[in-house]
Amino acid sequence: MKCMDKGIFVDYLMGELGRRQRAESDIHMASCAQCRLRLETLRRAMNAAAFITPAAVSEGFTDRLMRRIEQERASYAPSGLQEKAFSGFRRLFKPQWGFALTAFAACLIVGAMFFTGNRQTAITHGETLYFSDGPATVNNYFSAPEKPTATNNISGEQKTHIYTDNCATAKCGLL
Amino acid sequence: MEYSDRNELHARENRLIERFINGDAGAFADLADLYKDRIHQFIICILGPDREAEDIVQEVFIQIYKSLGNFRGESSFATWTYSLTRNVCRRRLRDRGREAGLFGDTDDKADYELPDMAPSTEISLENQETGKIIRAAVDGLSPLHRTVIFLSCWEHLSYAEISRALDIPVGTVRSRIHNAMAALAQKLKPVLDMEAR
Repeated sequence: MKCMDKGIFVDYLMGELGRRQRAESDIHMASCAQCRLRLETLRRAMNAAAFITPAAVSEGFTDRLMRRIEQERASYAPSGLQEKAFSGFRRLFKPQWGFALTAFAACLIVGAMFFTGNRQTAITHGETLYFSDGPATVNNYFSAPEKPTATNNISGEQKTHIYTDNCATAKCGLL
Repeated sequence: MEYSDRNELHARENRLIERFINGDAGAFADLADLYKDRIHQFIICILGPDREAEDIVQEVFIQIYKSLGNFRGESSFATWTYSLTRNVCRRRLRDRGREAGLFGDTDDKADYELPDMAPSTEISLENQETGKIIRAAVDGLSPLHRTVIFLSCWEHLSYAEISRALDIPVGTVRSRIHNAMAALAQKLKPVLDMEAR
């Protein structure tokens, strides 16, 4: 067996080695002075460390702590009236009611989305404005003359009024 | 406070926790008596000598008081407490604007070699002077090494418990214990050599 890994030394000292591994390590160390010395050095360091006692807190620590806890509890504790109101609230609103309300609200939202999302915009045959040089691109702001100069069926069902540039210019003064 | 029988300590802790959960505030005072010095020492291991250490111990106990009702006993009370203490220290360091690498698992990459010592060397632990030297040697170690020495040598926690308390993998716990012991042995070498003469 080759020399022991540093992790094995720690496992050995911490009692984390299995019985078989420990026996193998013992056999190895019986014939390996180097590993024996390493284990011994670590063991002595561990013993030395274990020898120290924890640094104590000052006298009366627990009393001071319990007083502070009592003060904190008093500052957070609700007054009699608040406590009554809070306990009434707790009696009225049980957690399962909260779940039921949440589920109901979720159903409402999903239902609303379903009905509004399913509705399609009604297709109406709108009027497309055409000028003599093509379709109007700013027809949102365009006020056409009341009487078109010509009416034509350009694309099947679509009703189209054809205006001349002069009509548009005369009416809105922009084009 | 050293407890030779860990099972007895666990049983006592569990009884106190149960009493506290059932409304006995006095049980919390007993629990505080059981842990105050150990938490104090753990904080010193993390922060080094700190004049606010006792304040932090109080803060830790207040946290324990508030959350003990939620303690499910999945880990031992000691592991849970040290993990909580570590978080309180971490928050305190963050407030002071220095967290550094005290809590990561990347700061202990150096390979610590064990010093050569005479096989017959043994420290006489009864000697008060030697005790002071050992404490100074431990204090001179890095926080990472001090905390792992505290949890393994003083608290006798298992690898798994140390891993949970420090939030590091078990493999890191092993190598960190080895490195901490090797670093301590190096610091104690002059004492050991002197004792051997």
